[in-house]
Amino acid sequence: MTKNRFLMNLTWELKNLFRFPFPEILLALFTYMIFQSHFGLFSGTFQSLSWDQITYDLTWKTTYDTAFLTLQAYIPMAVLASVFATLAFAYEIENGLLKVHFSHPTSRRAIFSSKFLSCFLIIFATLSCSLLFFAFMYIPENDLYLIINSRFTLSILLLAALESFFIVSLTVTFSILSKKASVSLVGSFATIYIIQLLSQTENLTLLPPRAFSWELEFLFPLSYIGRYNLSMLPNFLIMPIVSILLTIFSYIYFSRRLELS
Amino acid sequence: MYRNLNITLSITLIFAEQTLNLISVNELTKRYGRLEALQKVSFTIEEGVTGLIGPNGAGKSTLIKILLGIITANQGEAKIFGLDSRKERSKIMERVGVLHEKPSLPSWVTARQYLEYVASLKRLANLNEEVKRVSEICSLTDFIDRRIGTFSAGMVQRIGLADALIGKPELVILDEPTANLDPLGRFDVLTKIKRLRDDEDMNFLISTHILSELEKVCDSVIILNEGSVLTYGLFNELISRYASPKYTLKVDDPKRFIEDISKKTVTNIEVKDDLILAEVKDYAQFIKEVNDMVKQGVIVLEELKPLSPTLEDIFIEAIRRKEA
Repeated sequence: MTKNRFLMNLTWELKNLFRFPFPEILLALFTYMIFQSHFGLFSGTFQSLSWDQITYDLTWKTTYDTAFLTLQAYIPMAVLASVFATLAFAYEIENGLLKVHFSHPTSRRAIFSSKFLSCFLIIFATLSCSLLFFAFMYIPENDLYLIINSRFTLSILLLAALESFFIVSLTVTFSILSKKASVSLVGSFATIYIIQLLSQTENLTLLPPRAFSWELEFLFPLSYIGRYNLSMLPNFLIMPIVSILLTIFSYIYFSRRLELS
Repeated sequence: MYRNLNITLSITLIFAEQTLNLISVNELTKRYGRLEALQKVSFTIEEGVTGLIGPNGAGKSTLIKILLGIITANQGEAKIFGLDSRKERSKIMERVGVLHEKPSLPSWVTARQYLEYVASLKRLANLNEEVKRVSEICSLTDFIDRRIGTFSAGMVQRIGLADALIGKPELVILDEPTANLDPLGRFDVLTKIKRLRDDEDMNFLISTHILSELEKVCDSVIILNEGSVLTYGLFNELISRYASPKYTLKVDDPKRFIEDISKKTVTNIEVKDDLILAEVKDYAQFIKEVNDMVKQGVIVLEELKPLSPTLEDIFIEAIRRKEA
């Protein structure tokens, strides 16, 4: 049976992006996060020794730590995403590789989807690995929490997916619009960094990366009370909607409007 | 019954007519800001080898990009095999091979990996055999397992050509196919184009400004200048339409001949290495005057030969007529 062209493109794009030494990138990321973190061992709150109290304390600390980790990972992830989006889109547009790619029997839709998905998968895998590493290795209490409630793992993965989706959609949009590798690399990272600086002001808490705290507050009650905190739903939806809109815009521009010199 | 037969015949004729036109371009206009790169360009291309010629900035590459659906025209339509070049790009590309000018290929893979990827996109059953076939045609066999990043510009050009020939496409579009190649490589590529046309029935659209190379292989020609088509048609037709007949003469006294021949019969006359090169306006009158001179003993005629016009002559004449 002949293989789907989209899968062929995806394999090709992943090979393209995996030219980079990923174990080293992950190691650098872990080191960065270890130096940036200020975690203490969890102690002192087990005094009541009631099961409910222990669960509550663990949940609170885990939620807090994960939120902190998500914020910590945001800038390194933005750097990585800028590099990958630039390699997958702007570099190929600038150097004429995309023109050669367009001259093969594969649709622009398949090319965009495979490039976007390969960027997303790599960023998501890197972020998930680092979040899970910290949640279950660096903070020993979380090992216990994992045994108590495995839904926590899914919440972390979903959070990583939402953050990766936003970063990738923004960098890819910037990369396609700029069409130049240098502009894409610097511009997309600068945009993310400026948004991050703005999010530190009090009135702009819905901007990333602080917006991911809202995602966390919506997702994590599921881990310990078994249901979502619906009052947080509007805030939770903002980042996915923005990411979807950016992706749709870049998709339409790439498949219908993009002209190569 | 006869009515049905008529309808069937008409449909067959329409179908036959459509399949004859490999490429049809109608009123194609492309603007880059204020610059009009193509101005209402229209032509059709039939089977064989077609040359797309014109000076730099004539619009050749823009036209090729529109045909391949890489850029969109502001007006008009372009069709390959009767399919819209923009909307049905993927279908077209299954039957078309392309070599871009100075192709940029992924430097991090080997030539074999790249060609296998292209062959898999064309859904070919036996990738290894196909890669072997095209690498033999393009003289790549010894380098097939080397990374593309280590190749010279000429070798990259050969991989680009191999990419275009994968899957024996019905139409191969080549943009400056001999750029980056040494004289031997150029000769090799042109010989292969001829062989593929004759043996494999492949059709070519070749864009180049090296006219002397193109005239060795092309059956028909499209001449572009400043974004519009000056002329197009079969090479032989264009010769009779554009080129004024040229003759070489060897006489004992060239100076005397040039002084005595009537200026009404020739448009241009010059002497090169004791040979007279005459561009004849009125053939009958020219021959009569030469005969008279020989009979009167003014000159001794040693040789009189017609000179076939080159593509360059046609090109210059087409531009001259437009300017006139």
